[in-house]
Amino acid sequence: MTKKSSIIKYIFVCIAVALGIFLSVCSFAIPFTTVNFNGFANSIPLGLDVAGGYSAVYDIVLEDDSKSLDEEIDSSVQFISDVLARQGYTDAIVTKQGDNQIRLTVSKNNNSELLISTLGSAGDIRIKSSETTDESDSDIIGEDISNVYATRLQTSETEFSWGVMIEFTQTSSTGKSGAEKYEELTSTVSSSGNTIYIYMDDELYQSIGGISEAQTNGVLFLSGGGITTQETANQFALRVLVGTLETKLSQAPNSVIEIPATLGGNFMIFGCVALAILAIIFVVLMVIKFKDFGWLSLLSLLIYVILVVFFMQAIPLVLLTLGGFIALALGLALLFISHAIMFNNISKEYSYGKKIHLSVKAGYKKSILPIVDINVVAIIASFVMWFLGDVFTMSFGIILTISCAIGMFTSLLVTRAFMKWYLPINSSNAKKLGFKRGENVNEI
Amino acid sequence: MKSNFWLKIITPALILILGIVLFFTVGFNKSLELSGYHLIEVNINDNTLSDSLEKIDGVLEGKEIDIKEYSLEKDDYGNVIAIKFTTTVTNTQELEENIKDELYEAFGYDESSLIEQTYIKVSGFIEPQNIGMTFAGTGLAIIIGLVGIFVYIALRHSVANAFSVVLSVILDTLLMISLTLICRLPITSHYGIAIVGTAIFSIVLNTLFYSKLVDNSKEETMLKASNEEVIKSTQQSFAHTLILISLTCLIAIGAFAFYNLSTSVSLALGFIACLYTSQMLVPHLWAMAYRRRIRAKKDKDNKAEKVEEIKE
Repeated sequence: MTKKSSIIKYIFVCIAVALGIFLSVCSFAIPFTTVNFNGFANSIPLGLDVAGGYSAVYDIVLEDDSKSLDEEIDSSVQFISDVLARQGYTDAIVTKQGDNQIRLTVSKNNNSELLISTLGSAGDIRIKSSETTDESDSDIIGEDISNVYATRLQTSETEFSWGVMIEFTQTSSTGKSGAEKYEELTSTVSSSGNTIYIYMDDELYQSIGGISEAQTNGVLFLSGGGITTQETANQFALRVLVGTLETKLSQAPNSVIEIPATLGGNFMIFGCVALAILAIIFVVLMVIKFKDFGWLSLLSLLIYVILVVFFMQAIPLVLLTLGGFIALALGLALLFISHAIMFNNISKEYSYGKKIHLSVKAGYKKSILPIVDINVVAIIASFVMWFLGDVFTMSFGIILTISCAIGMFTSLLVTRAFMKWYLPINSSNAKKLGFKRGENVNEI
Repeated sequence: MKSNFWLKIITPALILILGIVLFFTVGFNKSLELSGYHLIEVNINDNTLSDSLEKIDGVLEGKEIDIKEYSLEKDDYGNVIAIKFTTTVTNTQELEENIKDELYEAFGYDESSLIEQTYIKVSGFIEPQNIGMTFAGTGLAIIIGLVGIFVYIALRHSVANAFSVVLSVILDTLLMISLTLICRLPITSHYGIAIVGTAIFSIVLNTLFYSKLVDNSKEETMLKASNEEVIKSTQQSFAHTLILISLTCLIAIGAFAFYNLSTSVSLALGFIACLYTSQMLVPHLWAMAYRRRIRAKKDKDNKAEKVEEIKE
């Protein structure tokens, strides 16, 4: 590798980094289209504590007076929390308020305004064999349904369509299970009409035709009509699921309140400035101690930042909360430690009398295992948090996993490549790297 | 060495015992969101924020209220001040109604007006978030994570190393929780981060130190050295890295202390616990596992034999 080719490579990297920063930070309209590019950083979903959200209050009425209101509200709170978490509203908080209300607090992501109105319009589902509002024992009702969720099924060789999968109960303590009722219903319609009708609160919501035989699998896939996207499918699933509760929810008047970020309105700016200062300290220390290699670590750091921001907006479950910010800070600290270990080992090898290029080779080789060790153990621990923690721990876990994985990649591959390209530019002047020979040590 | 170990374990042991006693007697100092609170929301309409706060303070003065917190929110009619408070009064409904009536009077709203009656909303008691689930989830995550780390370190180094790293991580996490209890730091819903952060810091620090310790013990100059000498030499060579790691991580979390002091302080306490354990206890655990350094001696003997063979 010649000096010229090294310089060209560095120029290309700098251009790529500049482009990466531009794409991460800037928003612009894509020419000749109606689409806006939002910038990677602007597309990262923000948590309730960082960006605020909405809270709404729902009055609860018990449909069956013989049951305890307190117990039913508690089970409704748990049920709604679980359903919302399954639908991706991981930071939604459902709490009991007063004697007969529940309060939903949710961040501004995932069209939360629609969620608030949907929760208040939950309805009773009724699946019937004829187009009439008259109730019949053969109708499938809320208690015959065990689960409803949004899913995507292949409808032709190239097309997929969003819909909801309705799973019927397999057992029942009172009579026929949901699956048995569905089998009977489809068996009835297969001989006459071939159509089943789905009612929501006594209003025809959708009809499904073309049923020519009894369905024995205990599930119904509902698509088309009002259900065309993931959002509408989730909305319908939520309406049906909440409708199966013993309690009836109605939104209290003037109860939707926009709440500020719990950590304060300017936390986002502060958090970003704090991370930037941390990164500057990291680079300054590196430049003071390892001079030219310090500047290489700046280039690696910029690539690290671009990659972390990119993956944070690309991975769907990421939610930037205080936990996320602390994870970013720790990730940055681990990157710093990884670089410090590597440069220290190279410096040590040089002090033993080796030439610069041999010191880089030997120092890098010695650093691989410690760097892999600290990052892998951090990834193992944070990866588990991703699945088992609450919203803040989850945010911490997922962002630390991303940070450590990219940090390991950056320090072991990117910085290594930069050091390799650097050697043709300077392979003899150790002063430019802040390296010194040990006492009474001659060059080998 | 052994007696030193027991001396060094006294401080963490005392902290742990005190922590356990406090946990079962007074429990955590929970923040409002975790202990539950009463909520009254006041739409300030045309009033300025400072005027409104003054009026609210005037109304709440003399009432039997323990902790109060204000936050500014927004509804369809404009800015809303949410008053969150706790009280020891038994008839809370009466207290809330009194506050409501006085607020109507202070702000000059007409309770009979259909719009203005929604300006002041008494929400009653807001039940606390379930912190038990947070602790259970985080605890389970740490346990599963530790199993993974145990397997990784056992494969990379040895079972003894893996065992002592796992032990120190558990100790550090418990120390952090005990210190939070002792310092009466209020815990918020972010507390899980402090637990997890401490565990991860401990894992990273101990793994790094252990790697260094094992590498040092295998160095030629250390083959004849005693365990104490190996530990001392490792501590000296690791001091630079240790200061670097500690300062970087403390700066990293210190920055966020402005916004969530209790979580940041808990994390800082956890980091200090990790530093203590990694320097005072982990080396002793290593020494216990390799007390006789049989392997090192064997290696040295084998090497000497080989050199003689080559010479011959």
